Amino acid sequence: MAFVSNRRICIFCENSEQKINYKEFKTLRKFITDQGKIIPGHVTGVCAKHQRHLGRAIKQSRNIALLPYSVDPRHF
Amino acid sequence: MNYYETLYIVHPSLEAGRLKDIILGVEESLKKMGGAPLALELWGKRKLAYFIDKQKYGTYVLVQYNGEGKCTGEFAVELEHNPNILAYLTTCIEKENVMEQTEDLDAQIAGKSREAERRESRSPVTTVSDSPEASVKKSDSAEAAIDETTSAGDGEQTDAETETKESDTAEDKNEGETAEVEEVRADEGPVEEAEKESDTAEDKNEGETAEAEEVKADEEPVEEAENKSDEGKSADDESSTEEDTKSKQENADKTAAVSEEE
Repeated sequence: MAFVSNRRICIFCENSEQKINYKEFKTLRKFITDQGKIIPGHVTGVCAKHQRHLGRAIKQSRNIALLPYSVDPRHF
Repeated sequence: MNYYETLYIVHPSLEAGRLKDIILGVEESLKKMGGAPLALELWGKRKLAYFIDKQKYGTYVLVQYNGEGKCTGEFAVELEHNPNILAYLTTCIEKENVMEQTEDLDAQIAGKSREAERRESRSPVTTVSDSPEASVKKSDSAEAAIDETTSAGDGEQTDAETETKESDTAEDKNEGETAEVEEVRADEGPVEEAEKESDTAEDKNEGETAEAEEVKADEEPVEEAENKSDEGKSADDESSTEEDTKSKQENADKTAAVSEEE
């Protein structure tokens, strides 16, 4: 049986035009949970390099109140 | 010489005139620190992801400038001591990422204030329709609850945030419903509706008056004689009474003739 790769390609590596910036919080919102936690790279398929950039951008967005630090899960 | 950008949040209660003063004051202080402003972008009033100084909304302003490294620290101290600025974030950027400012500050403030007026003008329409009205009241009550919770203390901030989410979802629903209602109204046309309503009301009134006149005609033939239309009816009634008397006389004659023959 031929080897079939299930490895997902990082969307930021695939599309070099898509920049990671703290001001683009709508893009960053895809990489946090409903509670506001950062989703790990092995779940989203983002490579380690871009996951570092994502983490930094999400934390900057949280600092300026564009993204929440935490959301109470009881009120979903 | 490096390129920097600072995104800061101005207090939401500041309107067009005072907002301009604050932004120009920040620019002046930046120039004093040795920075040279390159571009300024007004994002407008946005909802904050969490409460800052008990404020739910804030006006975001982005300013890009170049200068020496020490100017950012002094600029940060200046922003920190300004009571009208809720939060700020300074980052280092590349030269390619510097924006080209198309509109001046006055035009941007005017544009944002126009957008705000449009939103406000849309909101009273929601109170007209019945079903969205209740949901608007719900969202208002939710906001009131949020204010209460925020005034109670900062410890309940997480609850308040979640409540704001609920109210936001309610508002979003309201907006969707009102949009549908507006579309429907736009299709039908409010003037046409009003005309239809008035027409139906007039028809009803006419029908009722006609029925009332008929009833009066049946009950009081003497009064109807005064009206021209009723005169015809009364004449008919009189002719019918004369015919009745004639037929009675004929019947009486017939009975008399039968009795004589017998």
